[in-house]
Amino acid sequence: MISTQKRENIARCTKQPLRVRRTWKSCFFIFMILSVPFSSHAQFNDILEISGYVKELGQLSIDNGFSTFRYDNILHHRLETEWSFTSNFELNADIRTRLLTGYTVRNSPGLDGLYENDPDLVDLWWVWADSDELLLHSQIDRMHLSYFNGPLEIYAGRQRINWGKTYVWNPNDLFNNYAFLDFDYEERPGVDAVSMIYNLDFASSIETAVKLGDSFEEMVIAGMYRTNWKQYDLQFIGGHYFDKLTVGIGWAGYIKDAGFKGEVSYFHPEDNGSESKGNITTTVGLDYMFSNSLYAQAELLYNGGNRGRGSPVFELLQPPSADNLFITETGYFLNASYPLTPLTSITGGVLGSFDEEFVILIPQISHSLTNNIDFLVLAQLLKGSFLTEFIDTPNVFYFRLKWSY
Amino acid sequence: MYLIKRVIFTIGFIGLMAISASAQSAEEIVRQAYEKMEGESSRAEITMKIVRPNWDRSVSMKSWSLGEDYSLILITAPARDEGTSFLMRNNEIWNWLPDVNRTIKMPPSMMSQSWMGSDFSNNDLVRESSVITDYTYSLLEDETVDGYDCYKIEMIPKPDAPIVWDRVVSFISKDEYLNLRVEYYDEDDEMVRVMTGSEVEQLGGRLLPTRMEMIPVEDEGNRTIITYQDIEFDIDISERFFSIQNMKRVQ
Repeated sequence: MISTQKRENIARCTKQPLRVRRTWKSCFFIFMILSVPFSSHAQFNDILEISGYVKELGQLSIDNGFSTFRYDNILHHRLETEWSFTSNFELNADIRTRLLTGYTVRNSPGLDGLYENDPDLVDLWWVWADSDELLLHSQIDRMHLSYFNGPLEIYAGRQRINWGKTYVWNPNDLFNNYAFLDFDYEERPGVDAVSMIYNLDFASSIETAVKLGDSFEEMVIAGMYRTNWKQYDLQFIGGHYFDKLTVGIGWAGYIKDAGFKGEVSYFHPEDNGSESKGNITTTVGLDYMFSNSLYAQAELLYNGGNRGRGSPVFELLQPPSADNLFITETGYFLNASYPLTPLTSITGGVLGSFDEEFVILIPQISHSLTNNIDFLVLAQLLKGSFLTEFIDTPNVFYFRLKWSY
Repeated sequence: MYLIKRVIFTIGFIGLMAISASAQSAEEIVRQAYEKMEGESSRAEITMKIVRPNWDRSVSMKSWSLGEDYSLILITAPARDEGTSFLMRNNEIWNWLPDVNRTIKMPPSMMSQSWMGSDFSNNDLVRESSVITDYTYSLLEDETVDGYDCYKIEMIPKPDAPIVWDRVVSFISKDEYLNLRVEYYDEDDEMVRVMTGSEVEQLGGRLLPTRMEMIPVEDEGNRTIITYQDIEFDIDISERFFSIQNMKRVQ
């Protein structure tokens, strides 16, 4: 199944001039040469740094009656390269390659379309092999040139521009919102853009960024001013967001010893028809660490742009847009984590809404096996008919082994 | 990551000890020993290794500090956390996560924690100034440690000092004021833990024990080892260095 948004993205990217796409494809092969797995972290004269990881993720999906069991598996390699060729210039390129097998691959004809068609300006997604049993694909999600000169930083290419302050939802994050439930995508997607930061003092800066697109409606052009006032990091943003104008503020500060963060954004349609009206998205969050090392956080969302269309389950797994961050009009998230031992920690999270009856329970346990190997067990349990009528197996258990190099 | 955060908040304060001097003999010796690890500013490369009967873990980092209020720490190992950095300015803390290109402001409650993973407590690392102000001192008979002729100094906490030990005994070398051994005793006069300094080397223009090991006496097989690969004191660094920009850029 492919969402409306995804279809639009696919349609958009197939309009891409073929010549550009071929050039980028050939660039890719340079990076493929680099993607030979290295046995250990390598550093060559401080010029080229290579790192990454290999992950094995098992996913067991179960129905509420414990009669249906479905298994999916993802073997995942990520390669990260950073080439500092002068003191002013740096090139970063990261590629993730995943081998998918199991129930979803066997039962989703056309799945390759989802992994072949990069929604961004330049096509950096590939499907290498696709059969009834497996799907092998690669995505370059970072590939940018950086220029540093004193207080000035310029980045061009596929990059992550992260303007969020709160944890789950980010109304200020105009470039790179991400799907919270897609926990295994730890680095989160990048965007084809040009961005510039001019640093004014230790926490103040002016930033501008342009997400490139084939037309004005596919672009985001925005600016931000950051500053620090009485131990509060403040940011003021404004710009063009696809077909809307936006202004917003965000903050991160302290109430006594607790962290206090929030974001507010207002979006107004640029095409001022009689039907058009603006909407607000806003979040507020608190976090605190108790003296026994229990770490707790809470976050609330008002999602004025909620349009309530399509399958909420599928929507949850797609990156949302800054003007419509969730499947309902309101949201809450509560989370607590506790280190059982220095190597093992347990975490329990609850994601829900005030206007629809559902919750998503996210318990997890992580364990450090060695300095470089980590084991994670995580579940996402969907409760409430608002979600469960869209999915056969609302209880999903993940098992992940990760080796970092 | 959890473990590392703990280390950061403790290690960040090594070498930041402000000490008020007074000229008593035993106290003067202790002061000289602790001043060895002092500087108005410093840059260091440190590895901390926690050893337990069934496992051990290491974290390596580079740190920059200025006075008691400014600190910047870059994790260099393990691979999973490499490139992560922490900035501390007064009681504000920021955490830089390079993978997601994100700066996170952390709550102050995270900083006031004791570090559960290691055998060093927060007091050991953050409140070193108390070594001078919180004890009364007396010289005991000289002893030899690792071939060094040492002063043996008994330190008794002052009645209102926030110290859990009943007494502390320090062994400080006579010629270079090297703090080579510290014994901590409880109210039953049992030695609860011992810290040793070894691998004395010239580092940052000073002769220092570059390896410090904390051993809890009753927990067999447990210890925590801090080694300095490099350290520089009184470096040319200003408050402006401790910025969000540099948190992302330091290498």
